[in-house]
Amino acid sequence: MSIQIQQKPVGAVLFQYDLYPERIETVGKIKKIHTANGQYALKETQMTEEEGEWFVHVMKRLERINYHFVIPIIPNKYGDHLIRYGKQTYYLMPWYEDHTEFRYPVEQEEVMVEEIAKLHDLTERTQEYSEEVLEDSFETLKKRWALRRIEMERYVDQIEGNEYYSPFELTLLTHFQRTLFMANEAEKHLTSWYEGAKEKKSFRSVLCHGKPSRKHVCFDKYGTAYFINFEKAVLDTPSRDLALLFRHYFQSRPWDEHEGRHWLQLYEKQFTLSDEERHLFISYLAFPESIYQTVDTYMKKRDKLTEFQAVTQLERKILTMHRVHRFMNSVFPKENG
Amino acid sequence: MLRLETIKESYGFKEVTWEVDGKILKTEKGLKRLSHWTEKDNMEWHINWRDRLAEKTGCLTDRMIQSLYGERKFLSDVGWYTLHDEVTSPFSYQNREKEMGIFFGHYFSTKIEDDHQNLHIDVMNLERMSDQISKPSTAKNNHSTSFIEGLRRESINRLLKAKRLWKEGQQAGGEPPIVTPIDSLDQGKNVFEKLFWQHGTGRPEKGYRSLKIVLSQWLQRYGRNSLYKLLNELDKQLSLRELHAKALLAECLTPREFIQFMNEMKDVKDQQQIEKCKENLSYQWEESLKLVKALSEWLDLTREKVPNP
Repeated sequence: MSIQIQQKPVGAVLFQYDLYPERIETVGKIKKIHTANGQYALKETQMTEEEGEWFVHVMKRLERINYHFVIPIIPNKYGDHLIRYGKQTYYLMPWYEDHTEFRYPVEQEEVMVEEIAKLHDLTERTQEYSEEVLEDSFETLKKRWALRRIEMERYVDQIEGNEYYSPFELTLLTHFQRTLFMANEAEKHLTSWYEGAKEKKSFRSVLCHGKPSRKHVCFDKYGTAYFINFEKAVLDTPSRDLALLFRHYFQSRPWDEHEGRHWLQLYEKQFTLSDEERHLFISYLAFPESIYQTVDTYMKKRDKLTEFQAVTQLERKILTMHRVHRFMNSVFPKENG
Repeated sequence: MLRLETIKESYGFKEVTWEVDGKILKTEKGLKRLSHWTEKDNMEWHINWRDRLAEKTGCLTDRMIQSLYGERKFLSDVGWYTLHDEVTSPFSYQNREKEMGIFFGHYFSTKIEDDHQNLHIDVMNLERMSDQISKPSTAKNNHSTSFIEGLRRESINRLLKAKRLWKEGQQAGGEPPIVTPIDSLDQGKNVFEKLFWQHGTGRPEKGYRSLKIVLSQWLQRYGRNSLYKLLNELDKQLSLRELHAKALLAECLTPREFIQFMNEMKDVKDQQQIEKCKENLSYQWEESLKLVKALSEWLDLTREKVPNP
């Protein structure tokens, strides 16, 4: 073999695809393999045997149900979808160029939310009702949120004792009551979901992508989105994937409640949420976890962030919280009006 | 007759020519080897067993390449064929006792759930061996007769000890491995520093013959200390000392080299050939004894580590 490959694991992995690279480029977590017969994306990751089996099952299922908005994985010459090398796991995909400019006007968020809705629609299943499972999910999340709240209240008590406040502390203290209000709202919506599902004696699950975000999507020049990285895919409520996607939007671009409503409407054109699922979705968004995470980072990595950076981050999250509040009120106008 | 066009089409090659007629193909995806199978059950067993071994070890186990239609085998006028990679660079085992101990540990413990009832598995038959070596030599040359008779008597003694150890080994409860036969450590090939273990097409073999070959050649190539490191790792993988040691020692004592020599002697035509066979037998005999000695010492050493109650 005359190919020059510096990384031996990659060489041994590509051997199993009969790929003879002319050049290998690292693009984020992907290796772009240039060969005489085209370009490929080799993903290196870590998965347990069980996670690997599930991932392959998910990819095969997406193919079976004709969900086209996914970049397929290519089996090796022995028919395996995953290759293990030591602790690493590899899989190969055709290389899809990710476009940011399109032949027609394209709103990327709109395309992604529609395609996620299609995924949910194709994989919808009504779960066998179990009050125990429902109660367990409800109690676990409620407890986790209560604990986070206590942690934050403790921290705030502690900084309130300071003679002088840092700009970060001052910003947090100014808006802390609002975070508590949002945490209460989140809990109210969570309870509404729980009561609703208990009354209906049913709940649905869908295949959730698990990490829907712009970086896990490749757009072609016509504006069609192809999802990648189903490694964290899971059967769960659609509210989970939708909340993750919205949270991602909130962080990545300026938006307002009208736009939020528009995205939700686009989603619901494909896949209508039940009332209780909408409550759950809003409860996930309302709980101010991202603000609490910013506080955690400030506490733990004080030396790695400048005060200015920390305050900017916090202010951005607070702005998002206010927008979520307005969005929440537009989704449930009567209850919150 | 195998048609290149059919192979080219089935496997999606753009260019295919014979590198070695009927055996090795030169393609744009590298050299490929064709394996011919006379028994379908044997081939199916190999497919499943190699897949399982690859899954357990993460090594390349000379698996059957899939066609464009997802088939791992194809039928021709003369029987079944499978396609494999032909790898020629030898693998270096130097200072890789741990890694290879793990590989061979899996090799000799891999089991597959298989229902090939028609599949014949080669099993060590000590009684048949007794019959083979009990017949006195028919050599006409006096010098050879005394050489052969001397070794025949020793072979009978070795076999008696082997039978006793085999019985004791069976009581230890270790299930003899069922593996694809190994003939040499040279079956290990190198693909970007990763082991590619090349298999033959032999029927599965039940017993310790292949393990003996691995250990004996390891001892010859890398010495006793390296062998002990390999054995220590194999022990972790297989519970070698507890479950298989006696049966393995029985295999090492079994005078296979003498039986092979006797078979070869049936066809020799001149004194030069006789001398070559004798020389070969003496070498193998010595190597067997060296292995038995090294194994016994390793067993004693590992036994010493167990504190007395």
